[in-house]
Amino acid sequence: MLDAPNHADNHHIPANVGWSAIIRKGQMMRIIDLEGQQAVDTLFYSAADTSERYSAQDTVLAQRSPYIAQGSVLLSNDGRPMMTVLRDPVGAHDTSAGACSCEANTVRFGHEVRHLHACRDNFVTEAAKWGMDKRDIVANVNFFMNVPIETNGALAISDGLSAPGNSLDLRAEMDVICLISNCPQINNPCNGFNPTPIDVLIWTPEEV
Amino acid sequence: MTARSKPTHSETPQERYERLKAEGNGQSGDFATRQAAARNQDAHAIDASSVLFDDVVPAKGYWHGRLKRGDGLRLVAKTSTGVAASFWRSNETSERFNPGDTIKVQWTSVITTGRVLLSDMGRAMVSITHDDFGRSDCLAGVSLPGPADGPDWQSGRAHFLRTALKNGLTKRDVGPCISFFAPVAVDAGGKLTWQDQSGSGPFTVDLRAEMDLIVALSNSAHPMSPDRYPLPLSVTQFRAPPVAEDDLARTGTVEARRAFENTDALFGDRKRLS
Repeated sequence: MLDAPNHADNHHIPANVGWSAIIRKGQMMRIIDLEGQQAVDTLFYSAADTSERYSAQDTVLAQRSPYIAQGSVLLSNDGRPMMTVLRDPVGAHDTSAGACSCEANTVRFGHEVRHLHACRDNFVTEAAKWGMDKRDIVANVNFFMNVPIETNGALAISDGLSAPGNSLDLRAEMDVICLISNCPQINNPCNGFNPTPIDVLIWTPEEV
Repeated sequence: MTARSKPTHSETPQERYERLKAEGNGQSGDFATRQAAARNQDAHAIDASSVLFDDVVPAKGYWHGRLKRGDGLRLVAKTSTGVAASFWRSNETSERFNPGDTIKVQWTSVITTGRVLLSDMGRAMVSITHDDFGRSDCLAGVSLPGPADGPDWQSGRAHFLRTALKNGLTKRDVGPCISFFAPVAVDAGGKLTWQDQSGSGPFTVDLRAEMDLIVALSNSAHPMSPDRYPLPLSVTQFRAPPVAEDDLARTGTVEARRAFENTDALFGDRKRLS
């Protein structure tokens, strides 16, 4: 595993909260699942034009698989590469089940959970920092979230496969704005029923 | 109505999740049985006096329209090259179809008869009241402009962009979609496959609008369809029959019931069907 250099920007993201930053073309991004089984809901937008953004369906179609893994290229809605997953020890991350929301939570678990915090609240808040709004919140990737889709179509969030300290590395293929919601969900197994903090490292690789 | 499983004690979130998952997977509850019965029924005859609009969408063409709550939309496809669809709430277009919630909340990527299409705000936008094809795709989306099938303007994405722009929306309002008549599945190796259809067309899908909607349809071939030649698609908008007390989409699952509670609240409806 590539050592992150000492000059890497280290962003500690506490449990439950949103975060966003620009990542420049060519930079590396490492997401570290500090305590294991933490779903990291992530979106990418072209920094030059946010109407170009991560497209889960275009990505799934191009790779003919619903799971993000090492080698996956996250494509935009214009079919252009945004991020490449260069290293991934887990093997399968979800991009079909989407982020949780207060609204969907009431449908899933009952109206009594309507005031629990949820990812799409984080996403819209972060989006607003970059001049975007809820129309810009589209289907996202859920790093470290395990949602197998059965041959009969059945799907469910299963226990996360990621152990404490696991990390994955992505390379930016264009200047992007990255939105993260460190998922606060406590009603399904995506965070092991226990939201925990993550670290995000961003750095420019040394020229060889 | 079959009673849903109820917790016998104060549940932990884990216990509640496992209980809902068992119901969602058909290990308890009666949705699967009711769905099978509904799938065995023929599409109802549309009374001519209830027809609001009738059109034929040519191969590689597109269609958009506005449905009122309670309208039906019948799609009749002669072949299984797929018909992509997307939806926005008419009087608040920031609310739109969300396929991720749709498959996650209903515990399946097989969205067919008796299922609902959910918005991003936890509401039912559309009920599928009839689908004799039986398979739709929420995973793979539509074709982008490119060399595959001909002029760029005939790609699914270009269709949706133009329908958005003609309805006061923009490129950023064009998000993920569903395709009907598209037998996409995930195989045991985790790869998308286009499952061979059984039987020949025509195939009918009936949708019922559960709120006022903007609808966009693309009749270009699904990107995974081996057959690259769509055939004309019949589209009929009509006043759907009144919703029965035991309507499958409304009452079939505990999740759908709650989605309808959220939806009906838009219209001041506090009555719950059961």
